[in-house]
This record gives sequence, C-alpha cells and structure tokens, in this order.
Amino acid sequence: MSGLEIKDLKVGYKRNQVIHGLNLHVNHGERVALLGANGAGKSTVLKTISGLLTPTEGSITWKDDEIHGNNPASLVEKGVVQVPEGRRIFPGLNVEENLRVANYGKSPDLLEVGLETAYKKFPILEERRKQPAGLLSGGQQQMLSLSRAIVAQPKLLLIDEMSLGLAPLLVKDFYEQLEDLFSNDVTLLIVEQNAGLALKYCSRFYVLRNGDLVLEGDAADYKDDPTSLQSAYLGVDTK
Amino acid sequence: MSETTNKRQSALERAGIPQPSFLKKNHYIGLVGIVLMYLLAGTFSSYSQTINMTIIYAIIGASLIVVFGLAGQLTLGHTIFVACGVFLSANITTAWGRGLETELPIAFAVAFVLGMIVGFPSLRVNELYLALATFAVAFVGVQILFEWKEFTGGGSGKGIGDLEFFGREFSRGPTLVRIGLVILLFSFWVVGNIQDGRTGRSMNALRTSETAARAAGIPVAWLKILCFGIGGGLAGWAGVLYIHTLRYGIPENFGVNLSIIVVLALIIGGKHRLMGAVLGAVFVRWLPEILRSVQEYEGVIYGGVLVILTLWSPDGLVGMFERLGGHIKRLAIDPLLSKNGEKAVSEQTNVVSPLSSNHLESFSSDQLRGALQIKNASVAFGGVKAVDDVSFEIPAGAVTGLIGSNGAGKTTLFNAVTGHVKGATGQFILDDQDLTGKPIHIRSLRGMGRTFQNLNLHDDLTVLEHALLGLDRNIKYNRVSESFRLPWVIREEKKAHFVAAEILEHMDLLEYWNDKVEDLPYGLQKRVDVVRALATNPSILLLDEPAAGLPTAEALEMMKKVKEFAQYTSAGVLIIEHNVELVADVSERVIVLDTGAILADGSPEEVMKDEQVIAAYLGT
Repeated sequence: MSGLEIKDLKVGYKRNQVIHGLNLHVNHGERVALLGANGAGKSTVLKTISGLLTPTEGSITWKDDEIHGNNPASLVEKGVVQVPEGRRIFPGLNVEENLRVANYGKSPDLLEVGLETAYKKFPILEERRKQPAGLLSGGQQQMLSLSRAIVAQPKLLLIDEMSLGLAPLLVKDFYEQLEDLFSNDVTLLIVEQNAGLALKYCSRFYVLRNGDLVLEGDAADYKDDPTSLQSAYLGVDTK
Repeated sequence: MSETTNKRQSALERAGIPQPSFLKKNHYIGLVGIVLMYLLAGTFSSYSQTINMTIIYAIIGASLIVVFGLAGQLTLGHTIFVACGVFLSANITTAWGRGLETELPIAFAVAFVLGMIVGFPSLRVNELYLALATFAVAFVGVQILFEWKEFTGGGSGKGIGDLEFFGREFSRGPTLVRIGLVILLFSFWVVGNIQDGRTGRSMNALRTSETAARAAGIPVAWLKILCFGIGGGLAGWAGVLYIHTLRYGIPENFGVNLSIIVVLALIIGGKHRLMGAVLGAVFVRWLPEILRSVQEYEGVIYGGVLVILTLWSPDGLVGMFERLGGHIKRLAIDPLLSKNGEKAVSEQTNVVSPLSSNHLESFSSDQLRGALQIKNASVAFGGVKAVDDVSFEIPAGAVTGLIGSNGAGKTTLFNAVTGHVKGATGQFILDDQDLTGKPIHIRSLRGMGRTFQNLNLHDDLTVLEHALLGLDRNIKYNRVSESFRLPWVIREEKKAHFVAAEILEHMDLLEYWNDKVEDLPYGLQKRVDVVRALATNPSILLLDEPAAGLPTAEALEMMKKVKEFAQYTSAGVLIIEHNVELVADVSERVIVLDTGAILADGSPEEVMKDEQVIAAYLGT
C-alpha cells in the first residue's frame, strides 16, 4: 500500500514562497527524517501536510487520497496527526483533559489504551494528571505533546522538533521505544535537529535548504558520520 | 587591512536603517493639511460648527490613541475627561472671568490627574473588566456632575463666558476653528512624538507580552497610568473647545453614549494612527450631515460599516487605505521605478566587530557589575518543592551551565532569580546589592537579563524594535522632552538606533532588522530573544534553552557570539540547555539540578563523567 506522496509542492506565507517544488515520499510504515538548518522550510512542509497551510501548487496524497487543501480536522479523522513545534498544549486544561481531547471523536476503548501507554511512558504525567498543563515544566509539556500523539492513534504521524527541550536520557529512550508506542503500521515523518539520533532511528532522510531538496538517502550510509551532512545543511563544503 | 580604512561604515548605514529625525513624511502631510484648513477657515464659515466638532472628535480620538491604541486599554469612560474640560471652562470664564490662557492649563492638569486615578484599575484587571470598570466610571461620573449643581448647573447645564486669550476677546466662528486647529496640531504633535519615542515602543511591547516587557526593564505600571493621564488631559482640551463651540454644556451629554461613540469612531478610523483619529472624526461627524435625507437608516449604515471593517480591516479605514496604497505602489509605481530601483549591495569590507569599537561603552549605566550570589533559594508549588535550598554563585565574565532532567526546577530557579515566580524564598545578591523581593523590572534595571524558554516576543514589533526595547534603560530623555521631540530626544534615539544595529550585526540579524518577529523562522526568533536580553547590557544573563530547536552547529555559532559579548561586557552567563555538547563546549563550569537540588557541580568534564549524572540525566 502506498503511503505519503508529495509532488511538486509549492507553498508559502503571504507573498513569500518558502517551498519551491518539493518531491518527497514516505512508504507505509516507514520512518523518515526531514532535516535541515533553521528556516529551511521543514515546519512549513509538516504544516502543509497536516492541512494548516494550503499549497499554491502541487499535490499531497495519503493512501492514494488527495489530501492537500483538506481542513486539519478532517485530516485528523483520516489519521494524519501533527505534533506541533514548541509545546502547543492547552495550558488551562489539566493533563488528562489534554490527552482526552487528543482522542476527540474516536473510540473510548482506544482512549483508555492510549492513556495507559502514555502514562507508562511518562509516569510524571500520571502523577500530575489532575494539574493544569500550564504548570508543567517545559520538558514535561513536550512529553504531553508527544503523549497526545500516542492517544490520537495516528496512521501518519508528523513530529516537529521531537527532542525539543527533552533531557538526553528521555530522547534516547523515546526513540528506542517508538515501536512499542505506536503500532507498527504507523508512518512517521520526523523533523529533528539532532541529525545523529534521527539517522539512527529512521530508515531514510531528506535534507532541505532554503526550501529546496538538496539531499536524500538511506540513513545507514550516514549513520556513523552525521557531520558529513553538514555541507548539505549549510551549502558549503566543510572538511 | 590598511590603516586608512578606519572610517568605518556603521551597521546602521550598511543595512539602510533610516535615522530618527525631527520631522517625518507624515508630519509634512499633516502640517500642510492643517495650514490649508487654517487659511480656508474664513471661506467655509457657514460650516464652522461642524468643522469644530470634527476637530474636537479628532482631538478626543488622539487622546484615545494613547490609552486604547498604545496602551491597549479599552476605556468606555473617556468622555468624563471631556466633561471635566467643559465645566472647568464654563466656570473659569463666567465665575473668574479668565480666558483660554487659564482654561487650557487647568483643564489639562485636572483631567490628567483624574485620568491617572481612573487608570488605576488597569493595573489589576484585564481588558474586559477594565471596560466594565470605566463604563461604571462614566455612569457614576455623570450622576455626580448632575448632582453638583453649583459646578455644572445640574440638569439645565451651564453656559460659557467670552472667548478670550490674555484679555483679548475673539468672536467665535472661523476664529474658533483656527484656535481648534492650533490645539489639534499641538495634541497631534505630542501624541505622534509619544508614539515614535521610547514610550510608544514600550507600550507596543507591553500590549503583546507584559511579562517580557517587564523583563526588559520597562516600568509597565507607571507607563499605563501615565498613558491614562495624557489621554485624560488631551480629552480635557477637547472639552474646552467643545463648550466654546456649542456655548453650553449639559452633564447628561457626557455619559456612556458619547464614550462609546468616540471609541467606535477611533476603531472605524484606525486606532494606531493619528490619521485614524481624523478619519473617525470625519466619519461620525459628516456622515449624518450627508445622510440627512435617509436619516432613518443612519444606525444601519454605522453598524454595517463597523461590521465590515472589523471583519476585513481591523486597523480601520487607515489600514484599508494603507493596504490600497501598497497595492497601487506595487502594481503601478514600482514597475516604473524598477530600472534604477535596484539596491546596491553594500560592501562588507572594513567591517570591524562592533565589540572592538567602544559603542557599548557610551551606554554606561548604573547597572551593577559583579557576581550573582544565590543563597538558599527555594520555591514550592503547593506541597511540591520545585527548587529546594539551592545556593551557588554565578561569576562575572564566565559561562555557567545548568542542566538537569525535565522538571528538575531549572526554569523555576530562573524565575525565582528574576522575580517571575511568586513565593520564592532565599536571597539573590548581585554585586553586594540584595535584590530579593524587588519587582521584575527593577531587577532587570539592576542588571539581570533573561530569555524565555517559550519565546516571549512582541508580535507587532520588528527585530530592530526588540533591540531598542532592550536599550530603553540607556536612552536618556524623559517623557516630557519626548512629547515635544526636543533635540536631545533625536540625538539619543540616533545613538540607540546605532547601537541596536551594531548588536543586531553582531548576532547576524542585521538583514532582518525591519521584519516583524512573527514572520521569522523559529531559530531566528530565538536569536531575537537573545538580542533583546543582550541589549539591556546585563550583568547576569540567564539563557533558558537558547539553542532548543537549533542544529548544533548553528547553536555553537550563536553561543560563541553571546560569549564574546559577555566577555566584552564582563557579564556572567547562566545557561539552561539540553544540548550537552553545547553546554560542555561553552561552559567553564556545569551545575546539575535534580528534583530541585544540586546533584553535581564542577567542570564539564567532571560532571559528564559523574555516575549519578549519567544515571539521572545523560543515559549511557
């Protein structure tokens, strides 16, 4: 079965085009990293897939279904879920309410399973489940963000800045357990600043620079020397 | 580099940032308009009263710009200040027999003080409740005026005496229009200068993030009150003109209705521009005249315009015209000019690091220099001790790393140091001065600078304005000179722009100086946050995950610049960061926090090898 397919995607903000014709695909069940320096357009790509932005040209298909231009809510129903950058949680709701909202419109049985998985992964959240999420520390808010994704039961999961503000121990742990956390047929597209980690746990990667695709390849080829990606990031030859 | 190249181009010139000057383009347009009207006042003498009412509404609009547009405080009791001017004028001219030379200063002073008093609730309540509170003020105010018969004449109102100025009597009509224009010019001049000066900048910042504005050292409470005072005073002048125009004032005319109309007029016109006050005044005063034949639909038309504007042009008619102008310029004018419109890329030669020249030294201040001692700091939330009896010293001129697992209390410790959390105990001593218990902006002014984990930037402001905001404490002119844009105001502004550009250049943000921060990618926004903190020239700089979301190479580059800056100004830096590689690279010493207490403290090498740290934080 086909997964996510992006063809000749052009998108931007106001009159400012950010992505100038991107081709990218993620097979069903595959884990792919989207890398690049700041302002390269990574978040823009994720936001476009999840329906927060509408492309000016090109197409996005998910399981042979054209999804560009759909509204974010209907995409969530189709299983396309984004973990946004920078801990977008509902500070006024308590921790558990934040998680329950993530399951909005889905089956209650799955919700309980999701909650259990999330709490097992991040026990601190269970401890503080009745507290307003705004009182969590920054890193705990990121845990909550990721837990919301677990509860949402995604088919295609888009994670923007997965390791942002998480202690190294936790980041490693989280990557290692991706398989347990999400059932095997989840397709993952991850934006990650820590190229080393991303390469270790993803099968393929794409590097964006100024909105253009400059490099794609198998993670295995670069795993041992992630710094060699540097030149692709920055557009200069480094020794 | 040859020795002759010491005439270096400043960053300001390289980036093409316009220098602050005495008059701007809009000033000339306004001035020409007012002079024209002054000269033509006699020709349109049959319209004198309507013209005067328009002028009065424009002055009220300008006064509201200060309170509503700048300070963001929605007030529904504004006409109480107008009433203040009206009845003071009535009494001064009749009972004392004095003229405008007495009416104007007294009306301003009394309405100014009254404005500050009415503004007090704004320190405690948010926008909606403030609107209700001021609504109540308008309501009660009118009742008081109504009952206070010897001052206002009660229900029958009070008439005005002669129009005099230092004993010279004037006829009303065109002369009154001319007097009105002079007062209008003066009010606009003052409001425009406040908007362009440090007060305007601070208020714009305060509207989008009060927390961050305080952290930049802006005296938020005082500025809000001051805005209410200035707004009140100018509305008082409008009152003086009002009673001279209508020759009669009745308390009930200055109730809630009029207050709502003047706010609506400003919203329709555009609440961030003086031109908005004019357009709003013209709209509410002239539309009824024009629509006299279809009077019964007046309300419908008002309502319709308001709905349309709030939906499509929240910044009012001014915003609409500005956008229209922008389109015309882009479609029709730019193509014509495009041949020679290409900007020459300035040469990057002769660039000396801003830090090697002594620009920052000219910005000496009374900030303290020296180490920060944290003694027995504790913070408890409910029963949980987030920070538990932590003591250490942050030395000047060095970088100290603060790491620890999520929820270890790192940010809470920052908040305790800068005053952003209530109920912190312990002592915070900067260079032997005890800052414990001081308000946020005072700690900032004494030299505590910080950034925020979740980016507390000011969405409306440009990158340059963020730097200027940090520099505010070093801009040495007071609010009165600001109102009249005296020569040293421009001199100080030029100096501040100059230094701001240098700092932006140092942090590689110069090319984005005119971008609004909301349009920048995340990584650059993080840098803007750092720039705002650096511009305060802090003695102690607290960086809360400045590199989160940045690739390591970019983060290292940024921290290198921060370190250079810190060493130049001998500031001490405390950095919270999860990028261990970065922390090890930049820090002389690393402190590890776990469940609110210090777990390890030492050189990066020692700490990274510590078994407890590996188990609790790093992992194997």
